[in-house]
Amino acid sequence: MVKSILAEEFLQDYISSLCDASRQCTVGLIAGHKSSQKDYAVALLPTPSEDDDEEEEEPSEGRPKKQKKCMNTVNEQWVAEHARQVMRMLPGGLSVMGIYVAASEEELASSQSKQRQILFAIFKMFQKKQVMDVKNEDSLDWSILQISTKTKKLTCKTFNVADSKSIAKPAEWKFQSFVNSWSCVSCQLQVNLRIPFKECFRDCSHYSKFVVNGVENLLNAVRESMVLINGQLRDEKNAIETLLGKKKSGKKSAPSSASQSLDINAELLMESAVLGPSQQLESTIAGDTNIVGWIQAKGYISPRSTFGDVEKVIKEDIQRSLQVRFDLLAEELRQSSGDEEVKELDIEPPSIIATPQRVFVKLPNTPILVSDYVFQDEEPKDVSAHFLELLNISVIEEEVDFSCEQMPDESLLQQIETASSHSSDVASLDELLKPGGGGGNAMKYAGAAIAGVGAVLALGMSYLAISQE
Amino acid sequence: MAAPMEISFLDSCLKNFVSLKEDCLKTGQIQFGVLLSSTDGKEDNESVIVDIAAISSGTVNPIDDVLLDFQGAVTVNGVLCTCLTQVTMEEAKDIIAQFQKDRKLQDLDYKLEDFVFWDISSEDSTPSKANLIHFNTSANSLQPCDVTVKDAEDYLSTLIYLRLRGSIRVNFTYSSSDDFHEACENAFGAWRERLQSHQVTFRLDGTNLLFGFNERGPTISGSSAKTVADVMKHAQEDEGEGDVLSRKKKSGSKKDKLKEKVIDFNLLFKTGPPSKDENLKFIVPTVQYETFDQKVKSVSLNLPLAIHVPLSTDRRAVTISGHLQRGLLNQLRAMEVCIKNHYETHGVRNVTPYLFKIPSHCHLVTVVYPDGVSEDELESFRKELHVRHMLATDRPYFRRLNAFVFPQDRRDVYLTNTHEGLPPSGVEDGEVSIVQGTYSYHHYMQDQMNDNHWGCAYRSLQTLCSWFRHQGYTDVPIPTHKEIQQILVDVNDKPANFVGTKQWIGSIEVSTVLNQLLDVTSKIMFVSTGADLVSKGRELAHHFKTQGTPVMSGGGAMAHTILGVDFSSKTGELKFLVLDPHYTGEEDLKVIQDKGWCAWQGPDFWDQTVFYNLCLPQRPTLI
Repeated sequence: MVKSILAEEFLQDYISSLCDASRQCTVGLIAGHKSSQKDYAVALLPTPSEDDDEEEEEPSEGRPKKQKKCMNTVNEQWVAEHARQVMRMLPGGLSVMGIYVAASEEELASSQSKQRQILFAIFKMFQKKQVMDVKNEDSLDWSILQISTKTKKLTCKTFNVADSKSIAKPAEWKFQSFVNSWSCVSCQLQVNLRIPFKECFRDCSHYSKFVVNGVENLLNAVRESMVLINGQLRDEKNAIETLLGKKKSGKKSAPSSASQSLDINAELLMESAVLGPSQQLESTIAGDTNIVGWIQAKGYISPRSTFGDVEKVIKEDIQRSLQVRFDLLAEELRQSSGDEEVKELDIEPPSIIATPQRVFVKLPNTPILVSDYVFQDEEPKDVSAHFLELLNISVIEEEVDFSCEQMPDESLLQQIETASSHSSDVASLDELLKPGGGGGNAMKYAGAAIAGVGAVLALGMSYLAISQE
Repeated sequence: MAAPMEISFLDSCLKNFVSLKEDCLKTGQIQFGVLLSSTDGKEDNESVIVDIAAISSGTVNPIDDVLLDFQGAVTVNGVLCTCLTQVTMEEAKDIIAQFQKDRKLQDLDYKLEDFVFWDISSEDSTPSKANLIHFNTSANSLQPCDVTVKDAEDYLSTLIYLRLRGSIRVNFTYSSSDDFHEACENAFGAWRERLQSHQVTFRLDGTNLLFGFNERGPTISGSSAKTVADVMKHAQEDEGEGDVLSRKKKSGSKKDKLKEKVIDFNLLFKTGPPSKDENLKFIVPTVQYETFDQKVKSVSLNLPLAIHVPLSTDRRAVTISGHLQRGLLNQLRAMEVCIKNHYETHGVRNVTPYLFKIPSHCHLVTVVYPDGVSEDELESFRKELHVRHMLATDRPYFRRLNAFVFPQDRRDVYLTNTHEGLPPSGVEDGEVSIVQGTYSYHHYMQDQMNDNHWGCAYRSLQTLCSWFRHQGYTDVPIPTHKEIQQILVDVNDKPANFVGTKQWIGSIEVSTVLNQLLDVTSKIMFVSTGADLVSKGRELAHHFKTQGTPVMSGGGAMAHTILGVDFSSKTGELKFLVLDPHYTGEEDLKVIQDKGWCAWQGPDFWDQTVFYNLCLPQRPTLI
């Protein structure tokens, strides 16, 4: 059977622009939703050029690049890195599902093996960095879309990326409009994790590894959790359409075209309220780490999905999002420990540090929200630049939704910092981060807290923008 | 004088009255009991006294222990004062004043204003209008009582147990033993708070039914179940209908009615926002890092939950979450008390709740024990339990091995109490005296052991051992044939080459092994011929009444287990309840009962010409 890949109609315009505007070759990523029967492509994301950053900054519309590039100069690691970064920004249900190459017929023909190399390099990167849970994937058939800039002819084929010897299978690339009927699944998850440690850390780098390891507990709990869908546990085999049916029980005449998009609310049900690694009954510890707060998760599903799919996409987003946040935090911590100037000072881990905030932007022509993660001191223009660079979306500051998640303000940070877990408990920290109208609700706990131990790093320290390695 | 006070209690409480009366006569002092009524929220049950527990002194504090034992299944209805004479108004007031020595009645978590005085000098020996006087602290007057006695079986047949299993982890840190109690209290306090939040959700095991809370109160989702009985149907559907039906057929309808029914729930926590308010701000995960100046001890308790809440099947289903939550809070409280009580002597211990079904109460009792602390070390604690729950102090009821297992959870390889359900023996005017408690049926060919034609005494001995295990006297595993032989070699009863042979053993060897293995002594009854066994009716009846242990009989080449006798002292007619170890078939109760492998046998059952030795194990006196 030939696999069909449905591409959202508006992508046609982008493909035409590739053919019209540039005669050079372009490599980019296909992002969308994969399933065992069909794939849905919703975005084509050109990989930024590697060599010249300055050029990148400038609007490159219609302007041919200095160098006429050909496929053989493309660094597959570079594309893979782009794919990794893009994955961080995609919501649950969406992922990088292949690459496209726009070039002349000859170039396309001569670079077959290069194209394949790129595809497999991406998959290898994903495996190495645990970007996706391969076991959880419905399909590992990734696509290569070849766009002939001369004839505008589209050729599509798929490879099983898990099999390094796999041969190309033909696939059918069709344009269709579907994404506006997709439903959005939202979830807010409270994070509440305590991880004691037996010995103090030599530096931030060790500490960051410890924190990232600790978050594994949370990831496991998410994996094992049950999901309430609009407040109920539901049979995973049932279609999400039944949600519609219930709402409209009065009017039977509603067409069952299954094109209505839904806002689905998901909530995780866990077996334990406070998470953390299993520990000995009693042990002597040198200190404690507490991770408390909230994350916002989003996933997208097609109208023909089941509740099982809802569960899958939302867990995918939560896990991906948690991983990204803590990877970024770890990078942040490592950078602070590796900083030449302060290295001699024997850097201690910060007594309090916030993970980056997730912000959302609409993927043009779709209802889908893609996201980025922003540290406190990053400028809104950094965020815009990031979206442009990685997702080819030009946004103005106002279009970025900063409101789903909040960074703790200075006074809240101070209170969290001093709300020691020793002799009191996580609940008071928990209490501090209860969703509320402001930070004021935390005051009653401040008095009970024991003074925290030496905070070395001020929060104003320099956060570097997420950059490609 | 106001209209007489209505007092109604279950007939199962009568034995509690008797017990209090006996203590009162023995000590010559007023005996106090706390009158308990059901908390299932059913109005008809509210005022019915379902259980009575003894309180060691006429004060308020011991009542806390009682309530902890029942873990929320009952609440205080009043106090019973068992007196040698009729009390005067003055005396009554004195007693009540004394009662408030620890705390004022107004300061209690429960309402206590009813005191009932029972004058045991009355001609009427059972509690009745003639000898009960009621004092209400708010009315401040003495009134006679109208007494109604209700059928406990009727009450119990409407109940099912909601069972909540799972575990919660309580973490805290402390730096010195001085601040252990406080740290422990804070941690449990935080948990209590959490368990009272809307995060808490109970799932009917294996279904999509959830019971929880929202701003408006308790909720139920995933079903249109109206009553607890409806919820039960869901649970059974999940089990698979065929299974339930076949199980029902096996046990007679009456027996089925009396068996404890249980439906299982899991404890889950919601992780989303507490309300749908859109103005809420959600702070990103924030990582706090702290080191301690001195070394700090971190405690991580993984507490297994075993919560059982009795509830009437006609209660509204939506009330389930509230009942489970109450059970949860009560169990947590009991765990906290246990951890703190044992900290000084045993250090930090994880604790485990155990459920007990005791003859003096119709409700189950839950006791939390510290892990790894031996039964010997807990003896004084158990003694208090025995006294509080009016149990004899010569036999174990509250050892961990005595813990109650719901019929549906029994995973025994061996059948237990195979005599239950047998037709009567047919002895006219006979008095049945049988084994007390539980035993397992051990017979030929079990445990992949071909002992056909030689192992019958070994099997009978195994049945005897099983009784001591089931009754909580020992946790020694049932000995294998080889182990039995080894014991006999070790005590120089047999030569070393005895081990591994197929040689028979007799009653004397059985008693030797019981003594060696379980520290149980036995009486040996010598009967010169099988025909003489018929004259042992009175003696055997006495054994089953006082000791209640199964008896091994050996005669000729045959060993049997005697489980009881039906003896008519008028006619001298005697039948023996015999469990035959020579059975080689499957564990099929129907075959065993129909084919006489467990049956009432007449005197001609015994070989009339050979002599018999009966081994009568004597119950050790311990708790």
